[in-house]
Amino acid sequence: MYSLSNKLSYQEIFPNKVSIWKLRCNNPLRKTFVRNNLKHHEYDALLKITSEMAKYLYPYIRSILLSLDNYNSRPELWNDFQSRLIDLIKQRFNTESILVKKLVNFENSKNFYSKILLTLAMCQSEDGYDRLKIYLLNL
Amino acid sequence: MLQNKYTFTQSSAKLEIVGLPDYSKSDGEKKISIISKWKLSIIDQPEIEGSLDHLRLILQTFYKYSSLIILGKYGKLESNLIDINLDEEGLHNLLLKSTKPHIQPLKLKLGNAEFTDVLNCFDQLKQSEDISFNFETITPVYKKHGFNLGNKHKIKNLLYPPLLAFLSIFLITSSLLYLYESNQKRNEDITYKSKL
Repeated sequence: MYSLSNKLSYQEIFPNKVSIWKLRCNNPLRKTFVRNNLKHHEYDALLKITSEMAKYLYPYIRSILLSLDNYNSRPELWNDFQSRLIDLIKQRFNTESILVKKLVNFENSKNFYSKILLTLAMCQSEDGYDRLKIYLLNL
Repeated sequence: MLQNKYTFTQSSAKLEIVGLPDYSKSDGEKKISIISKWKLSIIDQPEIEGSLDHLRLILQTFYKYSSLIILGKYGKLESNLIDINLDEEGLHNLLLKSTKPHIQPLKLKLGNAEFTDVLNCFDQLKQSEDISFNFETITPVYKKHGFNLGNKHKIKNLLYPPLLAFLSIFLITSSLLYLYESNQKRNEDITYKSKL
């Protein structure tokens, strides 16, 4: 993320890795949640970085979506992705929260993860950045 | 006159645009302002081609449908030339209707991966500086959804908590008031009797 922010010339907003980490800690579901005021240009920069990351990771996102589309014949990639994501959430998020408990449920969270992946796959361009923005505004 | 041709590719999808520059608008030789032919190829699916109006309508439907997906509204979109909807298996069903008589409509089933490939091809076309195409009427206007009175759950969630709080405060204060009044009356009776 830090190298991408440098590539997008966000050195002023994110001078080091810690500044990105601090912003990521604004997520109330994290174990290390800290209430900070997120400024508009920081929010915008995070969205741009996400959009750029989606472009970079598109081949991976696409193959996971393809595995979901053909789940009956090729479920391995999707299952690996979902298990790994659940492991990461368990490590970093507050597992006492009801919302996080729902997220780490393997059976029930499939639709939610597929929606996230589909949104990321659709947000890898200039128009995709607008799509990501509207998705977050309407959460 | 040689026609210009541009190709936009994304994994399984390829969009070809063929056309000419409009010299009356002082276009460069490499530019396309008059689209004469277009073709959309998706791996394992039949090729789609048509007139400029077809392309405009397909782009409009795809963008509108993608905005519905983003907003979590999986509805069905219908128009004169193209219908699109999401089936129970999570696949996007496309029905392309021909303008020529006696030609059966073409049915396509796109997975999420193919759908995003096609959408990214269209995004590339939109961002291309070599092709002049009016996207103003095509791209949906994204806006933040305000408070929707049609959503019953939202009204319930908004009204029930303060109503319940008001009712509980009313019940507690009225019961306390009743106890206070009866206590007051008892005290008055005691003082009256003691005076007697």
